[in-house]
Amino acid sequence: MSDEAVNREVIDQFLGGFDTLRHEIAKRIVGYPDVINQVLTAMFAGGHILLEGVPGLGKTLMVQTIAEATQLAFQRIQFTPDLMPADITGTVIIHDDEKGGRQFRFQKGPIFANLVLADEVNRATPKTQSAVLEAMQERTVTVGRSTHALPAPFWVLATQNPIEMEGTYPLPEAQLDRFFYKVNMMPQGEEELLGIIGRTTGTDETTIEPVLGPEQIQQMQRTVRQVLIAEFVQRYAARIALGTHKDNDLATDMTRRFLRYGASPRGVQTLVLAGKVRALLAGRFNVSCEDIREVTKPSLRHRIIRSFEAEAEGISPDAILDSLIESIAEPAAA
Amino acid sequence: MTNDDGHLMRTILDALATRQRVVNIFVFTLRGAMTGIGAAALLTVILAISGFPPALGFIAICIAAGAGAGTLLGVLRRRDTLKLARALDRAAGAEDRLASAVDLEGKAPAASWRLVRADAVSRVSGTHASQAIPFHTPSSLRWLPVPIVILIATLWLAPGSTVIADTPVPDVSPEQWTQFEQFLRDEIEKLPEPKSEDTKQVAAGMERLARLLERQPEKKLALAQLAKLRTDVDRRRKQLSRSERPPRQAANAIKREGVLSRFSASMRQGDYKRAAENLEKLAQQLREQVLRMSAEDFESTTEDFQALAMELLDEQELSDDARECSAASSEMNRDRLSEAMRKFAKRLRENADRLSQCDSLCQASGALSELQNRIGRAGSRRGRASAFMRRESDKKGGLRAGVGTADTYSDGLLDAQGIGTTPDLVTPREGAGASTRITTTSRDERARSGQELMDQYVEMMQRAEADLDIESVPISYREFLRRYFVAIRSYSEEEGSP
Repeated sequence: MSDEAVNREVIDQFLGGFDTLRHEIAKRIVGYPDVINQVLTAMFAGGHILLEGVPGLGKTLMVQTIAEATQLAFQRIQFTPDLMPADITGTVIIHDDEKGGRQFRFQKGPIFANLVLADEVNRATPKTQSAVLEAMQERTVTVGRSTHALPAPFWVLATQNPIEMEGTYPLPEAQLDRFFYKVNMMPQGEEELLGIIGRTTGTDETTIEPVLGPEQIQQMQRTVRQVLIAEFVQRYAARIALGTHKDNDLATDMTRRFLRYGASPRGVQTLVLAGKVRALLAGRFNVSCEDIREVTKPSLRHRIIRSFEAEAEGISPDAILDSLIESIAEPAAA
Repeated sequence: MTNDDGHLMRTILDALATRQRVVNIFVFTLRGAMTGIGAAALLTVILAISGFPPALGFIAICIAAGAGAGTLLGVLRRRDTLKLARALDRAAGAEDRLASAVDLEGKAPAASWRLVRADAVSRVSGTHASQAIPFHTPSSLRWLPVPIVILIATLWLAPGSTVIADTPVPDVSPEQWTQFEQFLRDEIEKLPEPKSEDTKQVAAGMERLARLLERQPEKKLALAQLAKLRTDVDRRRKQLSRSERPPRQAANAIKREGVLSRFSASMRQGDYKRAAENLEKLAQQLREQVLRMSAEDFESTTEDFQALAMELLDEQELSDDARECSAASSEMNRDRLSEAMRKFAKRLRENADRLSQCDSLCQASGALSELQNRIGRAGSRRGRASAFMRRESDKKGGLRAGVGTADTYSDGLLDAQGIGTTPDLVTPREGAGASTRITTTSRDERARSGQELMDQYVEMMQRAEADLDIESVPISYREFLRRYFVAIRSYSEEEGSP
């Protein structure tokens, strides 16, 4: 653990940066305060985001807005069924040098950016989807015999349509696990729609000002990791993750019945990191069990694999996680 | 900030620990007491099945032992500081600040930890330990009625139980038997010293009866022995005199002031020999003209002897002598009166022992009669009378007066005639209008008793039932008796009087 201590000033800076960015995004994005919070939480925790929702809800616009507000190098990849891995990572091409000779040279793909929008990621084939696996986890790209580091910070923001829609390929479990959060975007209400109409059908154009730079973002990411978490809170997070495994003693009747596979260790890491962000946002220096509970659903909903029975009966991952949270006892509870 | 926060956090944790100890003692004592009750219930059932009578002391010991053990456990129970901190966090809405500070002590970088501690202390310092650890009754307390019901049921139903069931209630309680015995022994004390064989026999019989009452026999047996003794007493008394009243009561007819005052006083005391001496002295004084009597004295003496003669009708010779005295006095003939008085005194002296025996036997018979009434009434749930409603006294409202019956009844009005009296009762008085109460006054005005007619009816009925208890009624008569009581009961209920 670093000796560098979080202090009130650092927290205030974090809160200030977070709120400024949130406010800037809200200039263009109507509603979705929780979605924006979760997206920014993942961003400052250093995790990737998977936004799921039907077309037209503003997923792509949200990512574009974030890119504008953060001054990050932004690339958009529109995933289509004929998209190839090399279209994402880049490829080796023959290059004519100045001396008239020819040599192989790596041409970077769009993945080489700070912020990558993987739009409609589930429309590409699994082979292409897997091309981003290494980049997301290792933050490097290997082409041929060469490994190329991605710029820091590196952040993938993927959007996908619900898998029930035609022309989609479900993301592989291994790839899903690499997303910090999976955020569901639901259709807006009447008031929000009126707001959207007002902002998008007139002559006024909303200008997004860059409010955070890469350095600030990386500093905020370091601040997150400096938040302290007590052992009993870590244990609570671990118990929740273990509770998703149907063979574990902590599993509930619901998880035993409706889950095939539980969350990986990445799930616990996500719970803790997201909890730390939430603690900072609450102005605290410590993570609480309540923080862990609050971040459980976006952290684990895409990491648990439901059984056929659950899918047949329409039992959602959130419902399973709700029951799990209710049944897992906090350590050292009086 | 740091030192103060450290001290403050210790103080907060100490307060929490103290509070937890107090709550633990409370809760564990309750649980221990409950366990004691459960154990007592179980052991009581086992003892009851084994035939041993359950004891309240044993149950109290079980509960006290359980509570004591619980208290000890509460004192010794280990307290988890982290749990206490979490409890205070919850009460203060501190979101695990204090618990994190406690848990991270020595594990996290000091600077960061001090920040967490300061944040925690500032957040929870306004919350009292009692809010974090409130008193609560153990949830297992809801099962408390079970062992209690088992205990009560076992104590109620077990043989030799210390808790007496409502039924069956004995006819006569031990306290009543003690009162009866004491009453009889008091009456024996009041009896004159037995001199004749009859009085000795009667005294011995009463003593045997007192010993029987001391053993608290069955009511029926006591009444049978009592009736037997009373019959014996009456038989002996009748052999001595036809009168059912003590002869000494005849003196009550004589005025207290006058020539015969000393004579009547001795008579009332039952000292017939002294009464005879007094009368002889009077006769001598008359004869020697030492006693001078006015016309009014002669008239008064005439009335006194006349009344005495009437009272002594069952003693024919004495009555004739008294009448002779009255006649002589009415003639104001001193010599004749002196001679008649001497003759009366002589006869009185001759009968003194017999008359004393009659007094004694009448007194014994009266006492046995009263005792029979009391035992007969005791334990009876029929009627409204109670065995000890009246005071034990010969004075106003006492036991001697108040028993009588009306053999004629007309529109609720009772007159003095037709009232049967007990030996001690004389003049019933009635007011005008409808009567629901009979007042009986002794002749000397010293005793007066009022009794509701309904109570009197109940008393008479109980007497009759007590008599029936003594002897078994032949089957052929039972229906007749039943109809009789039903008939008089309905009559009294309809008319409001017996």
